[in-house]
Amino acid sequence: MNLFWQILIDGFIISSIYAVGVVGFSLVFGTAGVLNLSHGALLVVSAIFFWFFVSNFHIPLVLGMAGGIIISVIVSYLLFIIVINPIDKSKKIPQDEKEVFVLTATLLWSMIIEEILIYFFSSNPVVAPPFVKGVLKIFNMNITCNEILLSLSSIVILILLWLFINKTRTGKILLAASMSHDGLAISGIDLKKVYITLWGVYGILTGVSGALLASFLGASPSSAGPLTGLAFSVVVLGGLGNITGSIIAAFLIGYIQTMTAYLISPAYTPIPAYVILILILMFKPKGLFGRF
Amino acid sequence: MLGKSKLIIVFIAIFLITGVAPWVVSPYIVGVITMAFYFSVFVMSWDLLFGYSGEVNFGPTFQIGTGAYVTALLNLNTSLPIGICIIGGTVASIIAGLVLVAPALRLRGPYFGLITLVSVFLLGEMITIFAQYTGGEIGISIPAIITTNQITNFYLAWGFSAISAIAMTIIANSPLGLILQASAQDPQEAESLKFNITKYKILAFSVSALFSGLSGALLVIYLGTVSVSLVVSIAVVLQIIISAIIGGRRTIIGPVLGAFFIILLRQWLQPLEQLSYAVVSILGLIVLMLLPDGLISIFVGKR
Amino acid sequence: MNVLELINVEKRFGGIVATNNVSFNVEENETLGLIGPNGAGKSTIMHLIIGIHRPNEGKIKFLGEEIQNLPIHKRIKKGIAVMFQHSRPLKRQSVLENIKVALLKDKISIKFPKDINKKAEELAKKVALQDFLNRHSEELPFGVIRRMELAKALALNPKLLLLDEPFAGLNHSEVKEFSEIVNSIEKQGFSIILIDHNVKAVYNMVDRMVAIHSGKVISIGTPSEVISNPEVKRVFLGEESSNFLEKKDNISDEEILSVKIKSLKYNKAEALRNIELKVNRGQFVSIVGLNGAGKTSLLKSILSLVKYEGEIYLEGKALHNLKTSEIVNLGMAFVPETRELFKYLSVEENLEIPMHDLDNKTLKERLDEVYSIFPKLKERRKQMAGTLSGGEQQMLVIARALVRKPKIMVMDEPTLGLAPIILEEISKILDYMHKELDLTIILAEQNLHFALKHSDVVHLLEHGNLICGCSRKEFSEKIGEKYLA
Repeated sequence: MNLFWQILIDGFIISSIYAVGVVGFSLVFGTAGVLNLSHGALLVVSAIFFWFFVSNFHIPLVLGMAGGIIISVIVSYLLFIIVINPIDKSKKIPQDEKEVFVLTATLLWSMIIEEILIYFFSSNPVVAPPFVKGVLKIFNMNITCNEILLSLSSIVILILLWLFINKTRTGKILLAASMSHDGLAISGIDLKKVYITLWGVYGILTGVSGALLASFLGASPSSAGPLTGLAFSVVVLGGLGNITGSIIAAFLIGYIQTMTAYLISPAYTPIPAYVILILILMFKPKGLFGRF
Repeated sequence: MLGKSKLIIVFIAIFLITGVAPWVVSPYIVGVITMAFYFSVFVMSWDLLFGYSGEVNFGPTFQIGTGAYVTALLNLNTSLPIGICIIGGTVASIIAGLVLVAPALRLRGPYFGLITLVSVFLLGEMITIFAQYTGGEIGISIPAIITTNQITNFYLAWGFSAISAIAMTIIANSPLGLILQASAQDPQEAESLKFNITKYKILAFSVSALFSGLSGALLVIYLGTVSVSLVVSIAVVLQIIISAIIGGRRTIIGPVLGAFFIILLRQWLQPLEQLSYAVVSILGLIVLMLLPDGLISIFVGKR
Repeated sequence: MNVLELINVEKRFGGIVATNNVSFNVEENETLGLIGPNGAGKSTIMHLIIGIHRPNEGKIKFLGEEIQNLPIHKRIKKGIAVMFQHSRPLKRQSVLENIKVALLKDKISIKFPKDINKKAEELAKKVALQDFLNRHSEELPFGVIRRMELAKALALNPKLLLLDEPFAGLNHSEVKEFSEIVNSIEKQGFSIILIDHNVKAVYNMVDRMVAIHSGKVISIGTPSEVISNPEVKRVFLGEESSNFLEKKDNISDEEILSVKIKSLKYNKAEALRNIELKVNRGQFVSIVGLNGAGKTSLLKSILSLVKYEGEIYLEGKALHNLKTSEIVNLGMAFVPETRELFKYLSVEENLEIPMHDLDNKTLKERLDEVYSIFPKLKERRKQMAGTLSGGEQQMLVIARALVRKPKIMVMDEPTLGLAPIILEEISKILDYMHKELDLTIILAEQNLHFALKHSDVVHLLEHGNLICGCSRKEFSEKIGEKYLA
């Protein structure tokens, strides 16, 4: 019985953090059609800078987190300005090969970030200090208050994101962009502004999740690849570009990983996600929930 | 194709120039060039799949790594002759590819690329999990060595690379290559010209897997050691893709040029240590954005 | 004997019935015309025959054998060949190599058959391509590519050849050239299905015709029988009953829009050349022309949705360097042929998006205004746009264009694929916009009667050239009949 509660609660905590970590990836694909293979690297950037600001300058955690988010937004814009936009506009790259170029270029971008981070911060994993201290006893289990806070923050962020997209004008424009770019242009909306908003929102979202990640699991430059892989698995499982689907899929994968860790062995944790992903790609490539 | 004869001249030039290397450069550089030959086969195989059948393989190291590790494990744990170990590794690489990755060839869109990327992550995790057999992050050393003579090793790699290049060039310019290109350009139209395109894509994939796996297996025997960072990691995948694009995709010989460029550049940048990877990646990104047809387009013009 | 037989074939996409109980046959050595307006279901039928889609119900028999469940390549091997309207030939290869691909067997091999070059050259000669053998498809005009596609289809040695809109996008001389080639191959012992929306183009080329509308067969018979069928007439000419609507009397002679397009090219194919168009404030201007004549390209140029060479001015302001959104903000509205609705958003959200920069009060007022014009949209304001019927979607697109209170409304085929009763509704709305809202309207239409009914000035766009530009009365006298049959 104890094990059941353990899986239920641990699974919830990890799943909620996964969900926040991957929605940005889904949002960018849905709106701009970009599969950003440097997603993991961006998470790591904000995680490491968060840790760096806090441990080096001894500033309050929230300020350090803000710093991490700012860096994440900058890197997100750099990606758009240096890589995504030029490929989109390029006349030399054939239209039907642009997708491949974006995939390759973002993978390269990820590599560049990873190597630069290793150069400056070494490849050792860093863990940010907890936001709150203390331990709660629930159903005979010890759960740190920090984990509960992180999980609840994730849920709050997801709700805020949902409200932003579905209830604000800017959010609705982002949503509309995922359906028709020409439709927006003939509604008098400058697509460039839409992209600027999108990459800003993406930077903030990923920045926040990176900080949560740093406080929960910790991060190292070399976790960029696996994190992208995870984001990928979750998003494909939920249906590419389907934000709600991604969130549900994050919980599925989070729970499956927790069960693997408790019931089989923690060493096998990453495997089920990949196996599920491969099976999904083979048999139901549109994901469990399709588009929207 | 425009400049096909020029391509052949570039081809012969590369192999003639590099062929005299052992007699003019230091033994250390000879070792680097030997590596570059094996690496060039990785890149050519990748180009065969991408350039001709239009499929982006983000997991060439799934094939290379499987070939390398199976060969190493066979050699370490059995008393089979080296030749059989190499064949075993190559066959394992093709079979693993056909089981795990080839089904995605039926799908359109980014799915094939995605599944190949995942296959690399999966292989990496497997090697870490079964560390008692695979040596985990550190890798394993094996007893087998074909020869310790550096010049023999050099010409083995040289010959293998040249034969692979010739074989793949023949395939690319054969009816098979033409049908593959037609399927990549417009799958529906290719089917309407009576071609069962999945058959051709799977074949192209298998040929690519054969050369990647074999090259991985030979590399292990040459180096006497294998590790994730050498034949599996995403960094290796990127080097392969960058080399192909920098060299000039869809030419088979361009990738050889790219492979040499990258390997020698890495060598030259070695004083920068860790930062050298970043510099190579930045350079790759620049070429990707500004010269999408690759270095070979300087020699043979726009294709 | 029947070469091909369709028996009660039905194909549904989701809830939409694309072909409904379609039955017809193709006899040996016969050339059959499959005609119908855009969106009638012709392409679906073609896709069902070659195997891109499989029918939900019914049978397709080829030489007596059921083929509806075979994959494409197996059907082709049985003797069906197709020439697509939009093909993507091998761009890095020469014309000769493109034809060679079609001559290859579906067999893995490393060597080309010995006589393949000779065979390819012979085929090229049949379609007058001998001078282009070593050219690359990227640099060739549309007409040459079309002939190359025909050569590829002929290389398959078919018993049945499907030609999909073979004249679309070709200019006058190319059309002539191509029909001569088709005529020359006609009597070579195979059957042909000629798919076209243009009755005139195929009338003299076919033995029999099948007319399709809204996924149903409406008439089968000899060309003269089909063309005199009242339903066919109605579908192709539009509703003839309604006469010209009354003209507005207060059109100023102040010029609001001036278009001068030197040329518009997609790759090497020129879609428009030397277009000059002037529109006065309050005018209703129609541009009529067949599919592929360049109507959409012209309208998209005005909105900067495509790149062109030339100059366009709205009220004296240059548009040619502006982005689409800037042009829209100057008071131009666009109703695109492809609708471009936000299909997962509600009706009301679709209308709110263009009003993103207005305060809530104005937004509500504007919504009420358009709802009073489109009461149906008010009823359905919470419904997802993608689930509306075709007619309702069209109204939503028009309403979305109206909420920004434009000066000039540019509309691309708003009647496409809609039932006659809905045409009537849309017609009333156009009239209301023109007369009550005082809008300047530019309408591109295939449906001549619909266009004539409203217009002050009618232009005919043919193969990228703008001709005529006269009053509707003059137009129907001078061109009206020739335009159709």
